[in-house]
Amino acid sequence: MSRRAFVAGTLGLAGGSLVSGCGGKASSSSDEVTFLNWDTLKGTPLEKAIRAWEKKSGTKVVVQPTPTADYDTKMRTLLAGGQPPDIMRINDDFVRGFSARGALLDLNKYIRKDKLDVTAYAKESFEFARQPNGQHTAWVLGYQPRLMFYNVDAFKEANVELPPTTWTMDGWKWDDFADRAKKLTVPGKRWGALVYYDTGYEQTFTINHGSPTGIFSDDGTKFTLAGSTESEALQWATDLTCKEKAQPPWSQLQQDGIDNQLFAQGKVAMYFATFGAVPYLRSTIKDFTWDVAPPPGDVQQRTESSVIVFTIPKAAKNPDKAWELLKFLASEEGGKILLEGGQFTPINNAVAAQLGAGDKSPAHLNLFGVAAKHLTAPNQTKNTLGARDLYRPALDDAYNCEKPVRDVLTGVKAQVEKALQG
Amino acid sequence: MARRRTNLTGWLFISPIVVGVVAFQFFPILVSMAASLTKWDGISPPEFVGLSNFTDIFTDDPLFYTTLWNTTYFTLASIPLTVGIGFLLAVLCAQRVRGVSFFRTAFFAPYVTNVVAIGFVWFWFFHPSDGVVNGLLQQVGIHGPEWLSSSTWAMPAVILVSVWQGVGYPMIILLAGLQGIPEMLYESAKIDGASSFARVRYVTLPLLTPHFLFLLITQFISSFQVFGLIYVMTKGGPGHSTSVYIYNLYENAFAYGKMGYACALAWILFAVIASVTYAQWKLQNRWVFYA
Repeated sequence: MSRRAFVAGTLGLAGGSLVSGCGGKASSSSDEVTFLNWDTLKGTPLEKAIRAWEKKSGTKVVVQPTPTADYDTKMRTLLAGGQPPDIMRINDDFVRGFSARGALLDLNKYIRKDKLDVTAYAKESFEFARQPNGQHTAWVLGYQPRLMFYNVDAFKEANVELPPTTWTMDGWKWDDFADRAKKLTVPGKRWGALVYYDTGYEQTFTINHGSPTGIFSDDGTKFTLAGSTESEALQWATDLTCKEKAQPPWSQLQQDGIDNQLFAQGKVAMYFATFGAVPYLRSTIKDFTWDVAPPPGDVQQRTESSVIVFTIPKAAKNPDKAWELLKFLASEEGGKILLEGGQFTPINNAVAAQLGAGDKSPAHLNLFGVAAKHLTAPNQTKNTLGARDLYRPALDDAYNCEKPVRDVLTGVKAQVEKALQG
Repeated sequence: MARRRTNLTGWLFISPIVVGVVAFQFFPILVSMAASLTKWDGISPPEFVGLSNFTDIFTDDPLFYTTLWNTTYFTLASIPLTVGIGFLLAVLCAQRVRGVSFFRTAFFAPYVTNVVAIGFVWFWFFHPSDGVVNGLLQQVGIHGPEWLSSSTWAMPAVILVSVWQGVGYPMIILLAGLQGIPEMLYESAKIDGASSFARVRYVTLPLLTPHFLFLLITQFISSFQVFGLIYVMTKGGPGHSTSVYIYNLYENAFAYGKMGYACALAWILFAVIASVTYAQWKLQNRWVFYA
């Protein structure tokens, strides 16, 4: 081979690889749907439901699992590059912002075309996707209400009255809760309660204390968490540590998932967590009985729910098929399959009503279904993440018992409200 | 003619790299410069806003000065410690004793270890009640601080880990420098009656100043861009006490979708690093000795 031919060949290969390295395709052909998710689906009920729809529709679903840490970056990159998948899971905090930027498809036309009976779905969760302009830009498959998980054996051992097994605050108000937490605390061995680790407590406990809006105002422009009623609620939860010594210090909670671990190890007797904790607890706890109860009530008794939400990007190549899949997953047929996962309540009310523990803990799993009638959710804003990144670090000082909650929240209120402008 | 052909052949061979550098480095730099003048979320079309991102950063960003100060604190504390300890280790590792290769490897190993693994392990070491660090302090009767959950102690903890991880690099550079110093200079100094300290002061240190200059420049650039350890160990907390410049930039770009703003932050960082590096380069005449 001459040197010239070698050079030409090398350049051809290099150029080819350079060109082919650009523009990886995320789009789909007309007979397949691309599905971006932050969990691996292998062996999960969601995969089972997707395969069931594949069989039914004759359309192939190409799943693109992406590790959680990189998910938001990849999602933004795909949207920015104009090559988004047909369906993508989306952090519920991003829905309002992405909708405002016109990145998400309005599903109203499909809902109307198919004459969907929306009363078949859990109202608050279904309405979550409705934007101020009336567009319906996301699709909720299910929701994960938060309940109080408790160690039944610890209660019996400490001779403390068990929490209620129905949605009631009779004998289950904040004072009752704090009193039990203190009785359940064994210094050096077990904490009575853990409330302030799960960030859903912010909305739940402020609303239950009488706040009309919780963290943000209805229009998403005001930081109402800094109000006196709201600060009182957060201070009450903080005082379980700082005054009552019945809750782990903040310094010992600086690791993801530590709340689940502490409960599973028997080091915390009661903790506030989402439905999503159930599979982990079922597979981990072997040596004690545990159950769930509603959160303790005050002025009212509601709970925040996280939503499992998917969306069809505006630039999706196959939106019609994508809609068909989403519709199936929210149907009774699809919901029944998802119910097997035991980690969220399917949005379909008929399916949610079938929630039952069977022979596994928690005995009162049905309360996750009952929670659908008692939900609250933080009002959406243009920049929820930006706001959180300002006020949550500030709260560290309160959680470390160095400053009152009210002081730290009023200190950052102006900055947070500026961030809420987007 | 033949020379021109040779040149052309050379250019042809390096052209894939040139194309790569232009496409994946120069072009993104230009895009970033243009994006810094826009309001752009990475999804919808960018909107030209002139210099308002820059004015917002200086006048309206609650975290800009905090993160700049935290980064400066990290840099000013970690560089002297890393280079100073690196020098001491280099002197030790320059000794001709049995087993010295093992120590050279051991001191250098953290430098080439994944930052996520290091951050995670040290995160546990610093656990206030179950951590190794407070456990050891307890042994000598000291009640250790809360470390990563204390606004006062979180940054020193991160600096400690950074020094532990980074000390191998200056050690290797300075070890190479030490081995390049001719033995006869020490012998001459000895004959002239110089003590051990005087030999270090008047022979070793002056001849290592070029290496120190190199280390100061490279360590400053890397310290000012610290991100991995912070991301793994503290996420900028508690209460923004460890929130550094790049972490703020990352949050603006990927958490809040403010790409244009993040690009402006990046260019300010570039200006800071370039200015300090230029100053370091210019000031070398006052203290760097080239043999």
